[in-house]
Amino acid sequence: MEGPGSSSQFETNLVDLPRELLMKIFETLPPKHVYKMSRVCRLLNRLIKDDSWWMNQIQRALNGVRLPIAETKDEEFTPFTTRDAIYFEERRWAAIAQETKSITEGSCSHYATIDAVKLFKSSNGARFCITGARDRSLKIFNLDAIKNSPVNKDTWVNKEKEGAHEGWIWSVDLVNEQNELLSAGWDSTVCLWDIDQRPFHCISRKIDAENGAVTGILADEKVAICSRFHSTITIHDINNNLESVGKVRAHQGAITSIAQKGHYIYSYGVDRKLRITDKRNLKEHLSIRNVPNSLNICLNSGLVYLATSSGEVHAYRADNLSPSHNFRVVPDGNAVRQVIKTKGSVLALTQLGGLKSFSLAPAPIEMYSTGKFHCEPCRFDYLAGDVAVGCGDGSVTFWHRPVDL
Amino acid sequence: MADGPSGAKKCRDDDVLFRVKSKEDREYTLSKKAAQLSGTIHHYSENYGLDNDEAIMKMEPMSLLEVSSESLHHIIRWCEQHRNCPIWEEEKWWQNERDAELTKWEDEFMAEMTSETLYNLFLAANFLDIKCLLDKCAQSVADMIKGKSVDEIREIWMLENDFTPEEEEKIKNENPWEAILRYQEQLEKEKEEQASQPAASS
Repeated sequence: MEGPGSSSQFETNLVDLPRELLMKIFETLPPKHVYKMSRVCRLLNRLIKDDSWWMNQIQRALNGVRLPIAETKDEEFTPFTTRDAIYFEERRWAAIAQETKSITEGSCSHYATIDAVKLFKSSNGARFCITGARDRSLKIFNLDAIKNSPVNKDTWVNKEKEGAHEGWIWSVDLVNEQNELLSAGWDSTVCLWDIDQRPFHCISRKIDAENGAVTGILADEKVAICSRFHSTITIHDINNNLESVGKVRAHQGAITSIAQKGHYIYSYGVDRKLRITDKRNLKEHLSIRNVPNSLNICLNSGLVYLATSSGEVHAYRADNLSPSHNFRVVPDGNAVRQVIKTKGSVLALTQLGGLKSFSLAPAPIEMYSTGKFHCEPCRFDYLAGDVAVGCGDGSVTFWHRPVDL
Repeated sequence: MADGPSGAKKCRDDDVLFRVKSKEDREYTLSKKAAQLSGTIHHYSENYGLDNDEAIMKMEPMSLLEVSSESLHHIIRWCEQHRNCPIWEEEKWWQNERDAELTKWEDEFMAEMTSETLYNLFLAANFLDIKCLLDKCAQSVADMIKGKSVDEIREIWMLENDFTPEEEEKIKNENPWEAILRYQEQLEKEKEEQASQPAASS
């Protein structure tokens, strides 16, 4: 006897497949391609335009684990873009094993430890990396030149500025793609540079010894937000010679890391307090004490990530600072130097295991580990597949975004 | 030579044959090791006491009412080829260490399939819960769709364009990245709002 469905035996129809098989087919395709398929017919349209479809795909990609609530409740969250980002990150880290990495050496590297690394793309899509080091200099590397002429190292450094500061440079940030760069460091000085010039032209410079060294700097529209050694967060007007326009004593002791989103500044200090400051009145919005000893914080998609000195990453909800989840990166006794959360992955820099990439979710899967570096890694940045790691010997290691992604 | 119940779990004896029956009532046999690649057969043998060679040798054929003879023939070929791979429970082993020869065999195997046989094989692999074959089938189907236009996909899968002309016009004008664009617009808006606020002061 022939069972039901035998009539369609010679007519293969995609949409007649059980949903779980359609899911399986679509999860191997780029999410953008799947999205395009919503134009094929009504059934696929209904299926693909459904947010729960993408949530399901995300959960499958994360081996059945759900995303943290804070992440899905975040106002910027859309299941499709997150699925797309996860798909990209999975492929990006699967590809890294075959990639050739570029390490700067000799004349194109710094002489001392690099504490500031920032990747950016110019308006025409060219890729660059800014580094600031303890040798007081700033450099801009041209990633396309590094990739395309691996031998001719003379072309690697696009621009540089020796003696940019009078002390270690600890932090850099770009001002809204305006070819303006903010740098700051141990000399209690904030500088604004025009990086279109060769060498950079200093637009303005502000020394503020009272608040001490600048540990972190963030560009925010028209102001620069600085975390300072002497317990304060200071705000400087970018359009008016970096004059101070605000200051708040946010911690007891040095503030080691800051992040921002919307109206809020997130800061972490040696007092082991995580604090949210409202930018509009500089008052404390919320804070929690006794968070684990951390070296760096990162804010993304509704969560604040802490890189702890005990080798873990701890995540707190950005809205109410309640603990979300945490996971171990390296064995206890080894620190996580820095953590960066992207839309589709969590990246952690360690001395023992090098740079590690993890899948999202409370119980992440390690996607890749670069293994131990040739020297102490200090700071890294990640931008759409490009990786730059600044090291203790003044070299920078780059992994380029694979072409076929 | 039978290993006895304790050795049976490891499927060391290849001579023991598992009996199955297709939807057309045709009987097939496959090695015990190959049979264990199927989650469905694995559970069946656990539930029906087929955990030792003696029991398997005496078994009545297992009826696979959802699987045609043609699909079953291909399934058995696949399973015999993969009989030395880790058993079905192990997650995604087939993505880790790839044996180049096995990959080549798999690609040739898939190349033989017409879209109909592939379709039925896919359904059969789903019913029998053979994870490595499911993945391979999904990948093969995905490869057929990859990079194709909407019209081409309709043609390959014999799908009818069932949108009304108005709907189609609407969908065509719809930017596929609406989600991203919406998000970017929202960010812009926020930035503007922020900029219009007076500068922060202490």
